[in-house]
Amino acid sequence: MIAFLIFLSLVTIVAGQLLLKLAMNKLEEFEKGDPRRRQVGWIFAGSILSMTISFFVSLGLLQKLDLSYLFPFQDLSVILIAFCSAFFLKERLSVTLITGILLITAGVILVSSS
Amino acid sequence: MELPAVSEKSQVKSPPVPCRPGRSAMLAILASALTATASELCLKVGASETAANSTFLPWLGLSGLESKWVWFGIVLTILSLVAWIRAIRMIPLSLAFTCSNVVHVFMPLSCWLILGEAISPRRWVGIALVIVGLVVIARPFARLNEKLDEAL
Repeated sequence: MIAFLIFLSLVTIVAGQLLLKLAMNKLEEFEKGDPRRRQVGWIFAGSILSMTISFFVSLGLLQKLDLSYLFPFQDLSVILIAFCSAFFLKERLSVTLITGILLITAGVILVSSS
Repeated sequence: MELPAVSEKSQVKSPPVPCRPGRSAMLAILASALTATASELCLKVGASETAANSTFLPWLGLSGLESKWVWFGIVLTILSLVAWIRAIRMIPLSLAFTCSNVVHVFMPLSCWLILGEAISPRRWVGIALVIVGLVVIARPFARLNEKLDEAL
């Protein structure tokens, strides 16, 4: 059950962030008055829903587990979001960014494991 | 969030971007990270306060809503989200989300300063690594600003 909840909190946070960015991209893309702008609202609502689920699942996990146990999984979301935004949103993953992500991940593991 | 001063004609030529997107995105991420840190602290206090209370759907942590700390945490989370939306309107998500890891620097530091918790040498090394990683990815931001300043 715990494993499923951690998985659920990861999926919902990644989906929430991707949908939020997608909504912002579409807002930029379509001029005011364009009927396609209406879908932005739905995407935004989906993103907020996803993040709300993530919020309460994380709160439930926080009640049962130590923050230091949960941190490494939260950190996994950084890597997931970087790759998913490259894949779904066609963002460019530069070498600099990947280097930074690896350094930060190593740092976060050290911070949360001690 | 659109710039009101820009006339419609010039808007066609250039999208409504603040004059220094890299810098304002950074400030927005910083604001978002600070409020997120404060909210996480509130949530942890509230969650441990109410951990023993049971409700229906116990795995959702809904009993946390009985604590005022959780409500502070929710307000701070919303503020953090508003700042976050500002940030990701200006820069790619992969970059912004990685930068949001600055919370992992703020968290132990605030526990140290506010709650008086000790930071082990290993944790200091971790904090240093996160900062180095952030500097590595933040440098292109500064270059983005320079380029835009030249173009304008």
